[in-house]
Amino acid sequence: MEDKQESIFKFAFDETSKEHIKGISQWSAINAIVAFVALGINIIQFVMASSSAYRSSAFNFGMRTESGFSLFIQVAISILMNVTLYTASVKLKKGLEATNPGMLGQGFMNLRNYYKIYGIILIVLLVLGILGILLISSFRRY
Amino acid sequence: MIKKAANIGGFFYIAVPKLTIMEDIKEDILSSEHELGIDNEIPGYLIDTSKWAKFVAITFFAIIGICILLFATFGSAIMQNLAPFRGYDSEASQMLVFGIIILLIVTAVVIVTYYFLLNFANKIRAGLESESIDMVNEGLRSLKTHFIIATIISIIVLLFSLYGMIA
Repeated sequence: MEDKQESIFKFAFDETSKEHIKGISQWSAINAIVAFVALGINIIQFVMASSSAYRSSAFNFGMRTESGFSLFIQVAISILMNVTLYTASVKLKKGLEATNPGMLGQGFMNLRNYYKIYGIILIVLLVLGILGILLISSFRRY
Repeated sequence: MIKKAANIGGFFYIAVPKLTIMEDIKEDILSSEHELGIDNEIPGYLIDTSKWAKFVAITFFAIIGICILLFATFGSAIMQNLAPFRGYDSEASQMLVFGIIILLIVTAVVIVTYYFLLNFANKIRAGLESESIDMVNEGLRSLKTHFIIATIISIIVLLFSLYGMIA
């Protein structure tokens, strides 16, 4: 494994690679910022809907509380993912500008973490979805 | 030039080593102007990224495939339930058709977006294993394209959300 690792390092990123990494850094930063803005809009919409629900009835406000919990989870996941993505973008950009392989490595590490979080969340959602389908189908039989 | 210390004829010769400077040797600094050297960790991170990116892309393709399969299986039942909305003069019918078209466009865009992510995963892994910088570059270009498409879609969705909020 170490020999294989040593053989991998015989080349370096060339100008084309740097251009692509620069593009990845720019667009991933924009992606993260857009996601934060969208999250802010969701929160504002929730607050506006909650205040009108509070004024209308206790039942409606209770329903909003339940959707508030799902919003909280959405906010937490979004912040976790997009902070990681933004950090990756910043580190990649700094690594390129300073020609620093260490900083570039941290950028790629954060990019890996971003996709790892993405994958884990997908696994959790798939498991919950399958459990939900099984529960619904088992209730229908009775 | 070394002068040997010796007692020759009453004169002492002192041995002085002369430092030779190899002026012709220039350090080949790979990480300077044209190339960015890769340290020991970057390929590992890239391979891990490619594994997770491949998983994410394949999962999305699987979900889309299941949705298409379900629609193909239960599509007739769904269309029967939507029969009251069908009719050439009905506004709801137009909205239904519009909705289906939007759904098809969104599906196509998602497939294209995650195709590039899958391409990145495959090319990066193949490039690192075969030590081919061209293949690694293709992988990086695919990832860049993936982020470009994903960002444009995000901006469009954000604009629609803002419009919905204002309206």
